[in-house]
Formats: sequence, C-alpha cells, structure tokens
Amino acid sequence: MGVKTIKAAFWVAGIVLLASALILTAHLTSNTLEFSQYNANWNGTSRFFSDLDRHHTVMIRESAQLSSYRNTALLLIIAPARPPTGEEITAYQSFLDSGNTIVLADDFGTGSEILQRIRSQITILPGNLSSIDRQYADPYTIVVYRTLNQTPVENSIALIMNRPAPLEGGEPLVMTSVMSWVDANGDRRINSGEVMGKFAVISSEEISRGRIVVISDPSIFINSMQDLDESYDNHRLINDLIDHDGMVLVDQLNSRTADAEGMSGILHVIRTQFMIEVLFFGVLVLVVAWAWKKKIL
Amino acid sequence: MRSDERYTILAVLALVVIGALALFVSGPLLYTLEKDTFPSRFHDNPDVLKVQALNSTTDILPLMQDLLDYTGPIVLNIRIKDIEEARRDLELFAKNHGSFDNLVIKLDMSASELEEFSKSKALQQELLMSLLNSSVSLDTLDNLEILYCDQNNPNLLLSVRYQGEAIRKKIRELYAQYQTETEKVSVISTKYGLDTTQEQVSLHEFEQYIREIGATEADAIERSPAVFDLPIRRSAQLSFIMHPDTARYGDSIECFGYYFSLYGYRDQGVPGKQVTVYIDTTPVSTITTDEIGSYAVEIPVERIRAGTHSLHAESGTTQSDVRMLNIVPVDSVTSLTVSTANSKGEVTCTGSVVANRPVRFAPVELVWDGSHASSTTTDAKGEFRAPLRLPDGTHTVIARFSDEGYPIRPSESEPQVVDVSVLRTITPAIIIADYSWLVLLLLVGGIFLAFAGGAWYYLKRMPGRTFFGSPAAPPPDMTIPAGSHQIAGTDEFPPLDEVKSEPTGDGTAPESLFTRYAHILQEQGLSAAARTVYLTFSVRIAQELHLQRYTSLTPREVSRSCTKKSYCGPFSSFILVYEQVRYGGYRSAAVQAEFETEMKNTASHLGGEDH
Repeated sequence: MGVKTIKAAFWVAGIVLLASALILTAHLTSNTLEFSQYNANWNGTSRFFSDLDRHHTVMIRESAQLSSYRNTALLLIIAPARPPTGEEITAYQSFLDSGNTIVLADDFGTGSEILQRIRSQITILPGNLSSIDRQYADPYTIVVYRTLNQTPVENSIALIMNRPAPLEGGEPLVMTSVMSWVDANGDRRINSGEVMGKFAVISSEEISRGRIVVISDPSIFINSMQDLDESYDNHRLINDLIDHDGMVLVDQLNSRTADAEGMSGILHVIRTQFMIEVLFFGVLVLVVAWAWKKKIL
Repeated sequence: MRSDERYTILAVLALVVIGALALFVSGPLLYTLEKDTFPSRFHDNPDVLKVQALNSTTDILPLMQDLLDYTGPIVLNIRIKDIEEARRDLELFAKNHGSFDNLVIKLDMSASELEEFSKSKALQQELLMSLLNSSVSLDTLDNLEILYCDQNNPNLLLSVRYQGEAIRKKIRELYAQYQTETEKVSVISTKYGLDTTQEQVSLHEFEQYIREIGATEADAIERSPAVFDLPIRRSAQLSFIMHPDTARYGDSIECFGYYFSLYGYRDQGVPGKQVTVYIDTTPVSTITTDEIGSYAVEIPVERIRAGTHSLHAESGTTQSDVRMLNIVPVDSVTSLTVSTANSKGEVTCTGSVVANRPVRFAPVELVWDGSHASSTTTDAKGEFRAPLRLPDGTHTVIARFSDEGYPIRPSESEPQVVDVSVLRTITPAIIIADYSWLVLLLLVGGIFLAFAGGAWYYLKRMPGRTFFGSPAAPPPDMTIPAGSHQIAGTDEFPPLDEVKSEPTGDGTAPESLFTRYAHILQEQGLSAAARTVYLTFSVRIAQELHLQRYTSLTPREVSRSCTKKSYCGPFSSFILVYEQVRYGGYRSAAVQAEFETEMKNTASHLGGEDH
C-alpha cells in the first residue's frame, strides 16, 4: 500500500469519524420529552426556542429575576408541570403588580392552579375541545377564531389548536366555532350529553396593574405546529408574542420546555451552572494538552 | 482470547446485525413518520394527520340553510297545485339532504344535534312527499266525485267520498307531525344562527292548505244529492277505483274502494274485511278495510309487461267491477364501467340500469367478446357490481338489460375495452405484492449469505488461518515447501531456498540470498532488491515468532514485533536502512553499502538463530 493511499484512507477515516461524532452528538443531545426545548422531534419546542431573539429574551431560572422588570415585560409560562411554589406565586403577583404581562399556555398541566393562586378569574376546564372546524381529519386539531381584536391576537384571525382545553372566565379573545364540543369521555366523537357550542381558548384578564393572557393550548409552540398552512395565523401569533415591545421572559422555573434527560441533561447542566461550566472547560484544556503531547492531535 | 473464540463472537455479532436488519426490512427507515405517532396526552402530530379542512361557516351552515329554505316553497307549490315544481324542489331537497347526511356520517356526528337536525329534515321530506301524493290523489278524487255525481253512480260516489275523507284525515295527521318536526328544526337552527323564515312559511301554507281542503269537502257534500239511489242487492258490494289508468315503469297505481252491505234501505261499510287486488288474474296486494269499510293500496309499476291489464278487487265471494290499466313501455339506459385487471385477470364491472328511474332487482347480462356471458342483478338503487375473470388478451365487455317482463325496452352499454395481457405480465411489483413473504425470505437469506460469504472469504484469505475446529497449524503462507520457488499467498516473494532450505553447514544460504539480491539489483535496482531481502527476512521472522497477518504489518511494525531474539537488533538496524532506501528514496553508494552491511549482519544472525 502506498503512502498516498494511506494518507487518503486516513482522511476518509477522519471524515467518517467526524461525521459519526456529529450525528452521535446530535442524537445524544436531543430527547423526546414533551415540549422540551432540547427535543428536535415533532413534540419538542426546539424551533420556537431557536427563533427567540437572544438580545430581547431572558430565560427565567430563578424567581428573583422577575423583580427587576417594570411595565412592559412579558413572561411566557409554557406547559407548567408541577404545582407552583409560594415563592413563584409571590414573584408572579409582584410581576403583575409592576404592570407586566403574563402569558400562560397550558391545557392539562398545573396552569389552573397558578391562575387560582394569583387570584385570576380564568379557569382552565378539563376535557378535550373538539370541533367540526378543523384542518385535519382529527376532531382535536381544531380551528378557532378571533372574537376580540386585542393584544396578542391583533394579527391572528384564525388559528389551529392541537388539543386545547376550554376556558372559563375572563374576556374571551379567541373562541371555537359554534359547532364545537367538549369531548368529556375522550372517544373523539360527540356523544349524548356533549353539547355543541362556542368555547373560549384564549382569554385575558386585568389583574392589579398587570394583565394575564391564558392560551389553553401550549401545543401551538411545538415544532410540528410551526409549518402549518399559511392561511392560519399561528406563526403571526407566535411572532407577536416574541416580538413584544418590552423584554420577553421565558419561564424555566416550572415549564416542560426546560425538561432534559441523558446527554442533553448533562449539557444543560454544564451550560446553566457557571462553576460546572468552568470546570468542564478546565478539564477540556487538560485533555487537549495531553493529546497534543501524545501527538494525537 | 483465542482466535476461534474471536471469530465465534464475530459470527454471533454478524448474525445479530442480520437479525436486526431483518426486523426493519419492511420499513427500513429508523425514524419514519409512522414511528412518530406515539400517543401523547398533550397533542397529536399534524405531520402524520390527513388533511381534511372543514369550516362550519362555509361548509355546513350553508347546507343547513339550504335545507331550511326548501320547505316553504314546496308547501306553497302543493297548495297552489303546481305539482311539477313541488316535485322538482322535493328532489333537490332529497339530494341536498343526502349530502348533509353523508357529511354527518363522515364527521362521526351521529349523536349530535346535527344528526337530530338531519333526522327531522328526513321526516319533513317524507311528510312533504306524502302531502304531495295525497294532494294529487285528492285532486283526482275531486274529479271522480264530480264524474260519478254526474253519472248518478252512488256506489262509486260513496267510495270516492270515503276515500277523500280518509285522505283529508291523513293530511291533517301529516300536518301535526310536520309541525313537531318543524319545531325541532327551528330550535336547532336558531341556535346556530340560521334563518328559519321558510320553515314558518311552510307551516303557515300547510295550515292554509288544510283549511282549503276542508272547505272543498264541505262544498262537495253540499252539491252532492242528499239521498243516494242505491240498487237493492241481497249480497255485499265492493267498489274499486284506481288512478291513473295509464302508467309507466316506476309510477304508482293508487287503488281504493269501499266494502258495504245493505241493512234495510241503508248502506253500511263493513270493517275488517280482507280485500285482495288482482292484476289480470294475479293477486298483487291484500289489505283490510278500515272502520268505515274503505280500503286503499298503492301498487308500484315494476315487473309487469307493457300493454293493457285488467285490475279488480275481491273479498271472499264479493268481486268488484273490472278496471283497465294501460302500461306504456319506456326506454332504458344501461351504463358500464370496467376496472383494470388485477394480477389474476379479474376485472370488476359496475354500472346501472335506468328507465324513467332506477330499475331495481333487474337481470343484467355481462357479455365479453360477444360470445361469453355472465349474469348479475341490479340492487335497490338500480346499480350492479360484478367480478369478471378474463383470460390474457384484449377484450370487449358490454352490459345488457333485456327482460320482456318489464315495461322497459332493452338497452346495452357502450363497449368497454380491457387489456388483460399487459396487466398480467409478471412484474417485480406484482411479485412483491403477491409473494411478499417469499421476497422477505429471499432478502433475509441473501443478506445472510452475503455476510457468510464475506466471512468465509475473510477467513480464507487470512494467513495461516484454518476454519473453526481444525487443529492448530502454521499459516499457509508460512509453510514453505522444500523446493518451492514462491512463498504461498504472495506473488512477489522471492524463491526461498536461500533461507528456507536446511542449512548445509557450508554457508550456502546467505550466499544464495546475496546472489538473488545481486541479480535483482542489477535488473530492477536497489529498491526492488531491498524489498526482496526484506520479504525474505520477514517471512523467516514471522515463521520463527509465529506472527500472524504479518503481511499487513509495516516493516517497522515487524521490527517492533521482533523481541527476545538475537537477530532482532540487527533486523531493526536493517529496517532503518531499508526505510531510507524504499521510502526515503536514497540510492547512493554509501546507503547501498550500509544496506548490504546490515543485510549481511541480519542474515548472519538469522542463520545463527536457526542453529
């Protein structure tokens, strides 16, 4: 075997190894957790988070971070997973008292408990909203319509929602068509006792000096909902939310979007814990030095 | 770990890989959309959902509004006796209702208010059709009443009057039912914001119509003679009236009459009497008289020959007068569609027979190539569907309706040409479709054989490697038969008698190597000669040290592998010079001299080690 052949084989092997490493990294750093920002699959929110403007967005990892915002900030709470702590509730209330806005997107999580504890009149009711107005052959993936031209739906006339829950109370901004019902028994069809009518899916309410907007479907943020038919305004709604005039704060205290596991969990810890990050890079430098000395590199 | 064990593990791993691949043969993609449909309680994956855009405001509510808007004009037309217009509107009503009903089924809304709306609309449609027919009958009866009154035929006049009374009663009952259904429809429609004006109009017109037919009845009674002049008979009497007296396929003949007896000088209807209606001499319907002794029956014109037929009614020994019915023949249209042939040469023939309206339960002949035929029958909608097995080739198929028992002229479809030969050609797609299990088996077998073949080839080409279980033996290329001029497995190896042959004790082996070196040096140059020497040494060393796969090692790796032997040091020095010659491109006399020195030194030690 000639020297040239050996060199070519070396480069080919190197490229293959590099590609394999990249694929492996992509595979290991992703997950399939519902709503996780590290989940690049259909049910993750990686696309929504990658679209966020880094200069305009702050990830809220401690309640105390909320206290520094006045009047114009918007806090996004997407798919809360656990009951809120007292500290969090106090932070939310203070945030509203400071004239800011909270947008809570939840259907079957603990959103109702948050609303109740911050003394909102809006309630997320149980049950899958179903409708004849749909884009897909699925009664849970429904089309809803704007009923009140207010922020954040000023540019959204019709939206597709993916298993929303019905809302009660507050001022309805977006509602289903009259040919909609709550599928109480979950059989995806209307049964006797399930009455058709209009149901609110986005409602707002003034609390103290602030405002809360409740979206009864966090699934509008998942990856597979980002490429919907252009005749629906989902993309505009999300743009209007993240292009808010003030700072956009994304709750990572109590949100399924912060969920991570496996390698993505480790990377998440490395990226979010400063000291661990420093240690990690220190070890990395040592490894590079060793490899250099051994002429591996 | 022994090499046998290593190869066993390798074989097991290969089999595991084959097994894993076999699992994905039917769906080789690891991340398919289908695999992404894992159940989630939060959402469904829109990427795998079938698009079915539906908007209640544009797709459903307008259809409901149309259904609401038909009823007012239909009842108005019935009332003003514009029967043709009313019939046309009713047909449109039925068609739209069918579409709406299908939509309700498609949307799986059978337990919703939409289903209630649809059911009420279906009932409304039936009631309005009954109202239309009753209205036609009532008009006919009014004409007959005038006729019989003029003819002073009290028997028939009485029958007509009783029948008229029964129809008016029926219309009043229809109104009550219509009122109920209209109320249900209005409640549901109002909830969805639909305009129910025409529903209210239809109720109002219906009510007006009832008032009008009540007034007509009062007029008739007023203008008819107060006392009927009935002929006195000892037995009971049975009147029989039918209309129309000319009909076509699909029409209905309405037959009615009155069974009565004379009690003194007064006639009295006899309830509960069985009356049988005959066409020619064939009984076609049996009915019982009601509480006033009247009876009525509708006879559809279906399988009856064209021409004149006699109709009459009988009850026991009492027989009515005979009426004559003229059945007029009509043209028919037979349609046919032939599907493409499947791999077995089967086609599906679908079509219909229509004459005035769909011809129900009628025989249809499927004729192919003019000489072969098979039979089928239309269903209740006048449609047929039958499989037909055809041999290879191009065929012409027609559907033919011809039955003299029907008042319908024969017809046949346009010829349909179907090519079976092309479709029955065995293509890979058909083989895969029909023998998927065999294809799968062959595929898995092929993969297995490919791996096994690869493994066999790999093992075969391994130097000094024998297959599992055989006793340990030196690698084939290490075996150097006496007298051989080539080392097995290599084309470039030099004759080995110099190094392999048993030392003679006179030092001929080193001289032989040198002779060969000198010969190649002269012919091909230092580099080739050096390589010959290296290969000679490496064979010898590999044999001594039992180095396997030494041909895949670089000279320096062979040198590193050589330890604990006296010739290893000289060989290492030899390799350094050898690399200069072969890879460094040094060909100077000094380097050649150095190389020859190291060569001799190594050869000397190799010979010494041997002894």
